[in-house]
Amino acid sequence: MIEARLVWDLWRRILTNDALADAARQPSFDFASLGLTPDETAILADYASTPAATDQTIFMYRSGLVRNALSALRLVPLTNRLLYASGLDADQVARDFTASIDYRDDGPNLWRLAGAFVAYLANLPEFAEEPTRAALSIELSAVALIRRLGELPPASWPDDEALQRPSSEGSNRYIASRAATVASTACDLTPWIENPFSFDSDGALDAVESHWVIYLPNADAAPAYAEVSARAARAFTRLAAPKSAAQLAAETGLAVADAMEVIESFADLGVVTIAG
Amino acid sequence: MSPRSAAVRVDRDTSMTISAFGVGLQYNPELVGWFPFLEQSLDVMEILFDSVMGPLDGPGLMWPDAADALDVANEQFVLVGHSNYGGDFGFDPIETTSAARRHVPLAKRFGVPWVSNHCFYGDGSWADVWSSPLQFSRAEATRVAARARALQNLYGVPLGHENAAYYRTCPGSEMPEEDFLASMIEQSGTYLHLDLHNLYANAVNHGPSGYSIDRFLSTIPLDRIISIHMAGGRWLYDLYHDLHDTVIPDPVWDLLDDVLSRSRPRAVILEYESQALFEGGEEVDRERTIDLILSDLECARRAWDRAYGVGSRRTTRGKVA
Repeated sequence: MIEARLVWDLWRRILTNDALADAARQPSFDFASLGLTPDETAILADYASTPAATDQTIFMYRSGLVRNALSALRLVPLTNRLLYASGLDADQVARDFTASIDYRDDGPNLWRLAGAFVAYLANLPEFAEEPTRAALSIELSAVALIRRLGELPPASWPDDEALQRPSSEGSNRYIASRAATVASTACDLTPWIENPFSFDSDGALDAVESHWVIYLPNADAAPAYAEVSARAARAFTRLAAPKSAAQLAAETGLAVADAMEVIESFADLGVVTIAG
Repeated sequence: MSPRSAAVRVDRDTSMTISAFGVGLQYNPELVGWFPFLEQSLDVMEILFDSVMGPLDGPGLMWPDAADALDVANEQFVLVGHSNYGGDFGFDPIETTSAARRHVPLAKRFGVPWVSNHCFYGDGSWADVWSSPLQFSRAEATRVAARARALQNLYGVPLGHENAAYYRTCPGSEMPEEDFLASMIEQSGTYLHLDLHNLYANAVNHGPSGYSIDRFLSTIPLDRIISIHMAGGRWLYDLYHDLHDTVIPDPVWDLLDDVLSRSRPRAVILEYESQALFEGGEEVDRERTIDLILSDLECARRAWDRAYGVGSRRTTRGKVA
């Protein structure tokens, strides 16, 4: 009796391991040389007894990974557009990427897959220069935010009508929403972010440091980007813990009125609220 | 009145009390955007949960554009649910699977009268699913039946299991597929979603090694068939594949007539998964693809009407004297 769990576990290893995959295509392979347990060896020999079908399914698995990787990249439209504009063979890049992560199947965890693909591209020379580098960086920040929210959604979303807005009450303390994060880039990506599916990747961008609040308006929404000033970006980071306008002013060197203005502008986006 | 208001419930004795709907089409992403779904007189439309759900590692239940499209479709059609990659029968705890975390809420959101799923392994994975038919063993029939029963309870509507098309059986299998399914269904109290093209594909690929459609159909509990899939496929690399990219082959139509005469499914659903169907080995253009799909739909309606009468479909009830 061969336990199904053992078969399933070994089959997934075969799909992702070149040495095991090669053995599973050869009925006369010296299976003992692979260091498997007797049950595992019996399972591998069983697969190898139907080499054509086994080869076909391994091929289909790895082809499926490539399709899934390219589909996942659509979640990060800047990177997706830059890949197809790079002159590289996107299918070949995706094949190399899936091999680089040992043919891991992320399945429904598409954000994980998208993030891994962006990180892979970021290490290729074709994506090393600005502003491409900045685009990949900001989308990695967005993916990290979304994955955090997937693990632990916030109590309320920026779009929620019931969010408590800032008031002139001096004792109020404010806090940044968990549905938002700050990222900085070495150039101004505004033209690309405003047209993520059709921007001109050859067009020049201003080489000025830019700051962005990335947020998810609601659970089902695509990430939204708001360009903010450097002082606002610093303030947002400080609001990870609840603070009054006066405390925020003291920590950032802003005047209290300016701190309140920053808080109000974030509140308009729903990414800063009165701390409960 | 919404079309989904047809009486639906899962009895404690597990008997089916769902209205029969008729003939429908799968809402496949490959067809979305160009196939005129809303112009068709469909008795049901099948949602692929995995295609419309939000990523499992994100916070959203479904893609906003899919939600908009399906809300419109739900006004016009009865929507039924289908799981390809739910991890339904893998080894991860059910509460962590796509089935529990996405498919169940989607089923409730759209008020589907039933859900169908696949008899494959899969644990938070997609690409390995199609190469991983369940092990046809007594131990697995019992384990899988428990998961099926638990999932059906979560859905609150009948859950039908699709017979798989596979290139080889899972090592350790000790019984024919039909005996496995019969045993599983008996233990689970769930249902069958019979894919006639999968049956045909397995007979083509495994007939020489003993696979028998006749034996399959005489073994499974025909009264537990809740719905039927129809599709086409092609030969590639010396194997016949369930690719959903051709019209439905004649032998599969013959099977439909046979099964409709012996059972009482609630729907027959046609599947296509290509932007250009193959005809005579060649890809045809979009216009021809639409014509071929509509022609298949009409064939299916005629088959249903031959079996159950011309006024027996949701869209024809009350319209025929």
